[in-house]
Amino acid sequence: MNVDLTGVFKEFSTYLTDLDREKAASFCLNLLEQQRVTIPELYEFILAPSLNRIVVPRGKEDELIWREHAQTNIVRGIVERAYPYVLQQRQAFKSEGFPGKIILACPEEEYHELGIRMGADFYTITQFDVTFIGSNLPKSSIVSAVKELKPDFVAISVTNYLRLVQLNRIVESLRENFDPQVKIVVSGSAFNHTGSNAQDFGADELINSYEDVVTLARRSHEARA
Amino acid sequence: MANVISLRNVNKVYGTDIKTQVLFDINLDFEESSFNSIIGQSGSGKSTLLNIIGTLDKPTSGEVFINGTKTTQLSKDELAKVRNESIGFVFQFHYLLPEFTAYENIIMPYRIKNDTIPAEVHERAAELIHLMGLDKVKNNPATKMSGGQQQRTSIARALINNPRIILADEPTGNLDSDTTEKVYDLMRNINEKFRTMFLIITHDPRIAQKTDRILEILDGRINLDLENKAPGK
Repeated sequence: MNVDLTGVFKEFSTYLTDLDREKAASFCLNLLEQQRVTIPELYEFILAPSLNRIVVPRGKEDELIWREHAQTNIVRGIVERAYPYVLQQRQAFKSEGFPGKIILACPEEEYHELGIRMGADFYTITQFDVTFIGSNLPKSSIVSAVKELKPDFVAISVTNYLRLVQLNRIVESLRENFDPQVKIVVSGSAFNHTGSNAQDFGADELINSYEDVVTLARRSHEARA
Repeated sequence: MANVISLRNVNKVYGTDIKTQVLFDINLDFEESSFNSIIGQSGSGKSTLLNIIGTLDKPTSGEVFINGTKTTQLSKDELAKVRNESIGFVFQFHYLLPEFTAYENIIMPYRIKNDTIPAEVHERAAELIHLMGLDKVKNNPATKMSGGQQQRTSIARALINNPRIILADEPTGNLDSDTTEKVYDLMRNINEKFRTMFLIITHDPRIAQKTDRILEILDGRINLDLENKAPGK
């Protein structure tokens, strides 16, 4: 859509820095209402970068962590309130058909869920049948959800790089129980920070962006056709 | 950056009649001033690996290089010299000598090899005591300090010979979460100030997730080797 994303990002960042929840929310919801940005643009060029710019150096934790959490909460509120626009934008993909069912989760002791929560909306827009089962999930709980919900895909998101250790075990367990019916996709900043890819953990694909989700949806739909 | 530790095809087998292999073809390099952790379940081979790196144990086959020196061919005395000059050890239990003060414990590794203590070693000890926040208890016997103070004393002791390498086996295993955080901060400060390389065995996710590289050992093999290049960390 036709909008200066850099300018929009700067203005939004000011509201976020000021912890002005109402201005931050109304600014974003107006952009969506006026169709000046799409959901993927809002998430990828405004909301996610505004959180990623917060770096907490050692020794500054007390000063900055509460601030980071407050800003994350504001962004989470905006994402929840954006859901009607997600459903609206889903209509554009209706003609492309059904790519499959997907479960999204984060491993045990991984509490960073906002990234995959945004990802859930990308999968929704592209016509996946989405169930977001949350963060901090033990391996056995993820396996149980897959048994019950019988998805075509499982998406696991990892932010804290120590949690990549659990990812290995989760993938092994999913392979043991559900291979080859269930494809495993992975995402999250832990992959960028360690230079890892999906294959390093036995998964099928690394999803880095909305474009990657669109590609996955189209490929899956073709395979099902 | 140069490697301060290199392992080439290291294997370790215990026993003669009944053989148990605990390490399998380990190949690793650790750069100077890096900050690394080893994680893994009990019995996975972590401590054996650390002992071999620290020349406290010998591999059954393979080579260990410390600062470029192949240690597997050194005599016992030569090994002791490399160990004393290049490596500092920190353990879960501090092993301080109870009849000596914090200060005396800290200079002990130097005193073992030298009859007299020059002014610069006293100065270094004073600097380490200050860095570790031990000024108020430096003249206390080891038994008259808290667990955190004892562990910080043992870290200062490991640093007195200005080693390029610190090997730590569960250094916070015995500490509460606040003290764990303090000990972590101290290790990081030392890593940054003196460019000391750290290799820390830990079960504590609060420590492991803050190191720059995590090695996971599983059944005697390197299962994962992850380097975190994120800013801030």
